[in-house]
Amino acid sequence: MSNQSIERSADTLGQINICMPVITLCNHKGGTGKTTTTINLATALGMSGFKTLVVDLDPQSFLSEMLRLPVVKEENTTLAFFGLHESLRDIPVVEGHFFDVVPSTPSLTKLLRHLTKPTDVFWMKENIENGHDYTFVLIDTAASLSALTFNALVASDMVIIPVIPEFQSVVGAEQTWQTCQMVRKSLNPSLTEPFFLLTKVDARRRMHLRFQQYLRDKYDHAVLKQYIRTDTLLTERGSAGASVFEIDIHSRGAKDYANMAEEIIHQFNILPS
Amino acid sequence: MKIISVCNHKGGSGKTTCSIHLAASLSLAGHKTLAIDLDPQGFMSRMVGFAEPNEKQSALTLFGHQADWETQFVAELEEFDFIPSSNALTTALKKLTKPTDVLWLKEILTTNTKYEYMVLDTSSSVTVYTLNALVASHHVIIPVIPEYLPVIGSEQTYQTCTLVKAKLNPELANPYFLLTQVDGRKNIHQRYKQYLRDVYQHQVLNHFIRTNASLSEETLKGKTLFSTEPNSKGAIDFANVTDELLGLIHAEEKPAPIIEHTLDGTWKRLVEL
Repeated sequence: MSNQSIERSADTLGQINICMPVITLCNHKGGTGKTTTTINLATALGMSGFKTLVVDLDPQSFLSEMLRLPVVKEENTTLAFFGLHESLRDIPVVEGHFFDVVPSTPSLTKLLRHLTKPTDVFWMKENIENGHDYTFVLIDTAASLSALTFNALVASDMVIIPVIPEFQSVVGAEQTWQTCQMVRKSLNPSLTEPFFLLTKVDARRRMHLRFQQYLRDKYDHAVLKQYIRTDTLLTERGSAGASVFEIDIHSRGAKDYANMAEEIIHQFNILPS
Repeated sequence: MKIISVCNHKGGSGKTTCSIHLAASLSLAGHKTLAIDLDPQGFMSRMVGFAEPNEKQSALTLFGHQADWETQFVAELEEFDFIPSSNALTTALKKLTKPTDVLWLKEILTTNTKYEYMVLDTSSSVTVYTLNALVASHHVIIPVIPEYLPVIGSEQTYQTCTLVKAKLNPELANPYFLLTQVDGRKNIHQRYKQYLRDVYQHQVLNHFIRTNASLSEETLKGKTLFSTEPNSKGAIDFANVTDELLGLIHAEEKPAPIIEHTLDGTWKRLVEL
């Protein structure tokens, strides 16, 4: 592992040359901050002038609920990626202040039953590759490892694994890392190595420091320098909006997510339009 | 014999921790207890010391005609008996698609004569295993952190339980909410705790689990807090919860009336918060 990570650091210090990156937020363990990170990263990217799309791929639609999206017809939800359209450009989106969203629907669970062929992991990739006008596409996934998650990983250029520096969450994150490696090897060679994002970090807890150190020792540059400190505002849904920037732009959460977004943007060789 | 499911559609709410400690404290209270891990990702199995359980020695053998207590693998742990999960549960999902496939667990579990209590740990995604657990259960515990998204998830779970009760399992009692990771320093926790108590009244257990670093840590050794730190907040909280629950299960009172509400209504209340 250590050799790999050294190679990789040289590889990522130079920027990745992808002009319209697709980023998936994924951790097989639930409650690690996938949805919160998606919303705040998307807002930060939108505020920095990047045209950003968020795709909610979680059948339980926590993201859609957090944003209080209007109820849309089923064919206008993430289901549209699976057979109804040929290109992302044809899929209607819900427009927001800082980013657009393709909302989710519980029917995704039903769809899962039909996604059994080996080729069923390519639906999202095809739709996205066939053209869209966004600089960043973020995909929020469910905590389970399903055909939907694989669709997201196959369509992605980058994976961010939000991880709380605690035992279970770290185990889940390492499983997710393995899954990503598998996808890189056999399904999507253009996927870069995943990044870990430490979330809900509480400096008062010794355990957090220990697991943080463990991840940094083992995965080195793959752990984003900026981490997200624990902040009750991040667990809130404000009246103005769902992102922490709209609740209190001077809060810890807003600062952490702004810096983290900066770090992500820096990975790519692109400027706001 | 009573079967208790621990279930919440939102991940990271403390399902696994709750299952382990509930099983351990039921056992310590003198009841013969069996815990079954129904999460294909096997967090509970890992925490009690089964890192890579064999498919033939896992909960998978409970699903199908071959299920039989004579041949079923049951691990005898220090505090309770245990049937681990296995990755093979994910692969088997594809085969369990008939409407009657939600009845397997009930069929085998009701033939048991050895155990007084069974605790079923479920995954956060709504799979056929979760439905099997709910169909087989007498009681459901929904662990919930008093924060926005977990509360939304727990209310979805409450709805699912109501649905299962109406259609598949009339024996299912109204689910109990168990507040977890409660931090007295956080205002938001007080608010959502109050919200749940207002809406769901006596379905919210009086005792709750306070935030406790040893609860996310002790599991490294594959033991429960009752043997490692019997005087910790975590051990005391779980002992109290179990006592309360036992009282409720055995109370010979009229079944509580179902609390009628729709998600729309509660969201309005959540917006007001």
